[in-house]
Amino acid sequence: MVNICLICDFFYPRLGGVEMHIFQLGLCLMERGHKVIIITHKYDNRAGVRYMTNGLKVYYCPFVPAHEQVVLFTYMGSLALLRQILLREEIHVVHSHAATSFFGGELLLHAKSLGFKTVFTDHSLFAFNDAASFHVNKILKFILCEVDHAISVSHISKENLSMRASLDPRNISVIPNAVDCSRFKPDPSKRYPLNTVNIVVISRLTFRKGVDLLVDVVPTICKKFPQVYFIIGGDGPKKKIIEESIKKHGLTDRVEMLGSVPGHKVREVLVRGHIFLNTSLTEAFCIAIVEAASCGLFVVSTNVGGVVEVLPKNMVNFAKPDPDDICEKLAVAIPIAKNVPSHQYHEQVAKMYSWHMVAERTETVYNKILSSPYPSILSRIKACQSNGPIFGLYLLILLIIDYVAIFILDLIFPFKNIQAQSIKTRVQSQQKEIW
Amino acid sequence: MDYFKYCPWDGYRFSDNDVQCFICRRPKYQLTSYIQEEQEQKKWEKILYEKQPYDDNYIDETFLQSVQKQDNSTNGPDYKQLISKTSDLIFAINCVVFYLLSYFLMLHDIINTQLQLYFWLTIAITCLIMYSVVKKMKTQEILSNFKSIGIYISILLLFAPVMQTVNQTYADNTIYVLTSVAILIYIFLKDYDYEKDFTELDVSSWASLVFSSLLASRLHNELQVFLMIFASNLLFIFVPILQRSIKQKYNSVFRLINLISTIGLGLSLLFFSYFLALLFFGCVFFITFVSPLQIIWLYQYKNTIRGPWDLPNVKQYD
Repeated sequence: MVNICLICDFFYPRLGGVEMHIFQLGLCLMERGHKVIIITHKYDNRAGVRYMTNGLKVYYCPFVPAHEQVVLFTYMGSLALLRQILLREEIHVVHSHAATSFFGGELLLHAKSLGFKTVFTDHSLFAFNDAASFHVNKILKFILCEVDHAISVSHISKENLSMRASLDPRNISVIPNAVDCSRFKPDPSKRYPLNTVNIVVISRLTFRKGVDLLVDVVPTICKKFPQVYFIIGGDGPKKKIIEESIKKHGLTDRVEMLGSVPGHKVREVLVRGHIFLNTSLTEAFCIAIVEAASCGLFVVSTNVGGVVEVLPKNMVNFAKPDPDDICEKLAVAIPIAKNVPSHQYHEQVAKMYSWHMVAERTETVYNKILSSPYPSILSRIKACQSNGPIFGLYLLILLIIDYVAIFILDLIFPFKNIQAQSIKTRVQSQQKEIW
Repeated sequence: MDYFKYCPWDGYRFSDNDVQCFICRRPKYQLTSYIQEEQEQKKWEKILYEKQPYDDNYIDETFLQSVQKQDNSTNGPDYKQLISKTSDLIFAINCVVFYLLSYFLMLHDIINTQLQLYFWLTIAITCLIMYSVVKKMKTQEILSNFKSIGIYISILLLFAPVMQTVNQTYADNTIYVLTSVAILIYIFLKDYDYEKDFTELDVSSWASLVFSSLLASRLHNELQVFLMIFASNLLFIFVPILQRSIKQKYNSVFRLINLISTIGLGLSLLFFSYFLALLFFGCVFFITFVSPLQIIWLYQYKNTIRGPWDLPNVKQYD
């Protein structure tokens, strides 16, 4: 049995891809006999310890998010509390998720000094040619320079992560996301309006989700195919431009705008469609197309990022991120959409992706890193220096501060006051080895 | 376990009771490396929907093949283009120097305030007429703009006493340090590409308002304060809008105005300080002719990496 701590800024009550991944992974790892806790920051009044499905323990730590639900990277601010949690829960592996979660990054840095094994899962793609990406990549390189193993959700994401964080690709495993297929079963009887080919779009209506492409595609397809009916679910800053385009082209009776769709109602919307359209401009994995295929929809998607790796070619038509090409691929899909074997698609997807498989493969990673030796202080210094002569020196100072802070915490809050003797001895011996 | 009817290394046939190879002594059922070798014969694919007989951390020969690196030897920036691009920065610096010069004249009462008032009003009207001509406005729109300016001047006159006293308690040093910082913010954060339409004040415009109100607190009477803030709004908010319109339609006219204003300002500075005039001309020379060379030299170190993770160029709707 491995005691695992999953940590991320993003968790329930937020309901995104990363949040679902952490939740489902936690549950499946528990089913496999491991002890799992989740650490996140507080959400409004949701603070303290909560128990979720099957007794999954979640620590909502009292740190206030600074920007977009991400806590401020303070380096030392969370150390005392996180040390207490890790030692009390007798954790073996700290597993952080998402590159933009600095709460997880902070713990990855401290966990090494405390003598724990660390794993990081990357869920997004970042470019190399804009200021925001420079910043995130530089911080990621710092955070991951000592990580024991990293996980990417697609092969493209692995390439991206290895370049961004300068990681050895042998230390990055590709473990895809998954879908709970039992929640996404097809039901062709629910396809209404009748006698139409229904194209479903469900996504956040933002620039990165390709809403600008959708603005061009919807009128063109509606003009070309009178039998087509669009169902658009989701909300976001770009919703207004779609609504304006629909009004401008007089398509109010051909396009249905649903607004924000709660997670438990996504399937209800999906089963109404024959085709699922994804116009994302960047995606590391794209769970949405897997959910759609599981509901028996034929998928038309942009061929960006890791999307091309997700579904076999008989289930999806890939288009360039260009309105004309998307229209072309939709034109090919519309005549065959009603003949798609929905139930067969569902069975195929159920075999392709499952959270149990994700948990099993993640467990392999845990076992691998647990059998590897702990890094010496010299190797940690070398890892810091890999960040460059100036930044490396700065990181070295941070590393020394980290050790000093842990030493002081050991004096103020000794292990014996917060945990069982057995684990105390083991962690202490690990720390002695590091020193 | 069909694989292990024979030992893969020496071909020894296993009997049911054998636990290891009689010849090489390798164990019968723990030949995982052999399984791996056999399975690796199936070609690896870059897909996620099928579990392949490879480890999750397997690296294929196609790894990073989709990455494209920029070829720096061919697509370097053009020196002439870079020089023309510096004209916007020079114009912004000219505006700041012109503004500071008028402040200096006002502070030391070198030119009569009434004269300055007529001067600035003339400039404002000239700019408005130029803008109307460039935008081909109708008479109704021009009159409406004049009316708006009238209202704006009235409001500014009302607020002038407040603006004079609001920062009066600060020491001169504090005012000049804050002004320097605000001027730097204005110059560094100004939108030189004019990508956005003017709909609201950006950071640089706010910085110009800050340094004009700071400087205004050191002046002697309310009319001077009004003039300083009026000049600031004119030079740092309205003139860039006019500059953009002129540049879009008559780029050569803009260059000519820029050249005349640069030479005129430099010569004006000669009356006050040779050092300042030299510094001004030095800055203009450096920005126009030396900094483009630096950019071209630095371009060889530019390392643009492109891959499937980059956002494609898509037409955006507002």
